[in-house]
Amino acid sequence: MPEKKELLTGNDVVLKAAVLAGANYFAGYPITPSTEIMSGWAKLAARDKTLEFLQTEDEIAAGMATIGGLLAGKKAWTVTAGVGHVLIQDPMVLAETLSLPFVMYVGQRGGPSTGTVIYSQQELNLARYGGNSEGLRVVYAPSNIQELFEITQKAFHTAWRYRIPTIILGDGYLTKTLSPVDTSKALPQEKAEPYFLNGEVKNLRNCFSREDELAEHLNILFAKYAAMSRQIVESESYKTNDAKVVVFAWGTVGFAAKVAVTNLRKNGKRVGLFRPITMRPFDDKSAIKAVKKANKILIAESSGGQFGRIVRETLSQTTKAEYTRLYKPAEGITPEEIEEKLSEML
Amino acid sequence: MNNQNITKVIVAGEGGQGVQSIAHILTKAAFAAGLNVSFLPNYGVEQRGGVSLGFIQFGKGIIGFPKFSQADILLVMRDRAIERTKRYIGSNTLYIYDSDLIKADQLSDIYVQKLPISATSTANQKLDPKVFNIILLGAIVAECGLIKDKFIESEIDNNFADKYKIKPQFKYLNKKAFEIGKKLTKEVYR
Amino acid sequence: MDEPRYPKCVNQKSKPSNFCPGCGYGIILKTLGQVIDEMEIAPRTVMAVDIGCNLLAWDYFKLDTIQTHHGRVTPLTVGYKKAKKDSVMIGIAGDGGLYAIGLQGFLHAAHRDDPVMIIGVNNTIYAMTGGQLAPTSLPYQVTDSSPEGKFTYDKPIFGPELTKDWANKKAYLARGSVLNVPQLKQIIKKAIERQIEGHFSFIEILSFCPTNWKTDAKQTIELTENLEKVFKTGVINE
Repeated sequence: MPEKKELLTGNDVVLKAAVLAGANYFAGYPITPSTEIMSGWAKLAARDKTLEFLQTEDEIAAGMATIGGLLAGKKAWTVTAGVGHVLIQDPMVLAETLSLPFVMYVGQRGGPSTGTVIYSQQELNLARYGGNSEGLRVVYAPSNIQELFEITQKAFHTAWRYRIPTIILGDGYLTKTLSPVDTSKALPQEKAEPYFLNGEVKNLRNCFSREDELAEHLNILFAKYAAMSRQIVESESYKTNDAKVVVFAWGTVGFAAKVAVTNLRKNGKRVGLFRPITMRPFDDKSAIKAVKKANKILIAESSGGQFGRIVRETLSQTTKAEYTRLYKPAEGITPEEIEEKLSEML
Repeated sequence: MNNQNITKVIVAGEGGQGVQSIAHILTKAAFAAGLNVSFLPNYGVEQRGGVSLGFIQFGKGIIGFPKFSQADILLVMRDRAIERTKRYIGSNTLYIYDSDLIKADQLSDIYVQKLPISATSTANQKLDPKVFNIILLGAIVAECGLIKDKFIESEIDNNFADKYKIKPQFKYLNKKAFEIGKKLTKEVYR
Repeated sequence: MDEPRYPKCVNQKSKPSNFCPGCGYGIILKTLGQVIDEMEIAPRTVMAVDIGCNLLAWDYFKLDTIQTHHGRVTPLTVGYKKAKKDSVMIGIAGDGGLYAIGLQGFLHAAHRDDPVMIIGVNNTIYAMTGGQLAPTSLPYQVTDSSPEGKFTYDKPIFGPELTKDWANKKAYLARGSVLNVPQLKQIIKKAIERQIEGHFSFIEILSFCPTNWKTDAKQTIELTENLEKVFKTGVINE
């Protein structure tokens, strides 16, 4: 198909990508800034009998109903944000222990608590390890609306290919912004299969009687996760080969950082960017490689250091570079601010 | 990725003043004109009332982030929005405001170039009170000079297509309001 | 021909049972199994269990089953049925799982008239955690968390009666008891039929827990008979 740019909001884009990926079942609960995805789905489902829709009484029910849909072989998914994201971590850990292809879009909003309805990068810990979790899920972080379209499709593929809960971790800016997107490219998808009523009796359990029984179950999950990680881990290292200063940023801030680096490179400044695309699993190897020549590292994020802690832990054994923090919890970070900070560091 | 090739506009007002309409028309016209464009609405939890902001960027360069630190053009439609927008004023910001709803002395601590447009009284006297925001849109378009009038006019008509079905005279009133907005801008400089 | 000791749909491999000696769940599950056999619905039946003693039933039947989380059995049951409309979907929970932590999901399923069957087992305590106060505990009942009969409620929650206000007129609501198996069998059958007809169905079953009640066989029966005087058995919404 030829390139087809449309003027869309991020919410429209998530919806379009999910439908293109074969999503046919949605259970959810309204919460800003992600509500439009749910109501958009409701409008589609009202016209198309092959799409199921359930507005539940809360996010825990939304997640549990989504799991019900998956067990019946539907490409079920849900959408949430903020304190709804907190609640939905309950069904998320059920999907984790059962290795279910649970797909969820999260539009991060300000926190703690009700915070703002606008924007933040404060749900990173929650997405990676929320609930009584061992982090056995995939977390993708799109940095702009075009990537949002591709990554939402990719999330369905990863979830069903590897049977793993998968989160698309967006934010309020990403989904509320209206901008041009090319929505012509459909990525390959896996076929959904029912878990139940398929000729073979299955008893799915999440509760084990003995420590060693659970340990055995977890060992299998960890081994599976490690093997999958090598296949799907993703990051962007941009002009890092000779960079003296490397900025670490993710999501929308990651794209702002890319613009800042591009501008500084035009003036011959040796700066680079490392941007994880999968926040879990994390691309440790590429991160370590990106700072080989660096003597300074800037960490830019819209939280009080959730990302910074991952970066410092990842690099702890390999670099003596000095860290500078640009932490703005629940506030946006523009390319100009990053450029200014990098210029100060050079 | 040159930020100098991007025009940054903030439209600020009260809910119900048409902030979102102006922003949508501008965004869609820029898109139709083949420019890169981004519009981020910004508001609180309330469904009605409160201060409403729109962050719009367009131009030939790449847009790095939906929000920005300094606006090239700042349109303030109501006094309640003055305080919220102060942090986005830079030394080169052009401050456009409705001089019928905001008095000059309310802006005494804002030291940038200002463009007062008597949108409300002009709309009331010559056209219809509802089209005051299209007069202000005319001022933005005249100032940024990047989007041809035909794109704006066509997006105004698209935006109000449903309204035209009930009150067809608005097609004419909007067109007039847009022209007056551009004209008033020139008169201020004269 | 002799009647089989266990219903056909029971998974013999899962014996011995994980339930305590003298537990009422054995009667409930066996009766449910007989109905499933008689209605010949095993190939299209899926069962979800809550967290509580009922989770021990996760491999009791040769049916597809899933353990959920505490209080979450109803939404999962509803979610599955929405995706697989020709299935028979049964959810089982205790009085805590249904009337305390899971009340919201349970009542909303009744309100939406979701076509699932929910079984609520009422033994007036949280049995799996060692016998704490439940929404169905009686006034002055001594439990692990209401020592000396303090901290109890003025009256217990009457589940099917409460649900009647929320549910569609066509929902089936009833209460049975492990002391009256013929009646129990009848209401289970009716509840499954109502689900198949496309409506919500719910039965509460009065059951005993000698382990936490700390009762011998005679006392267990007496206490349960007493419960039948407080929680009236029969059909609450036809």
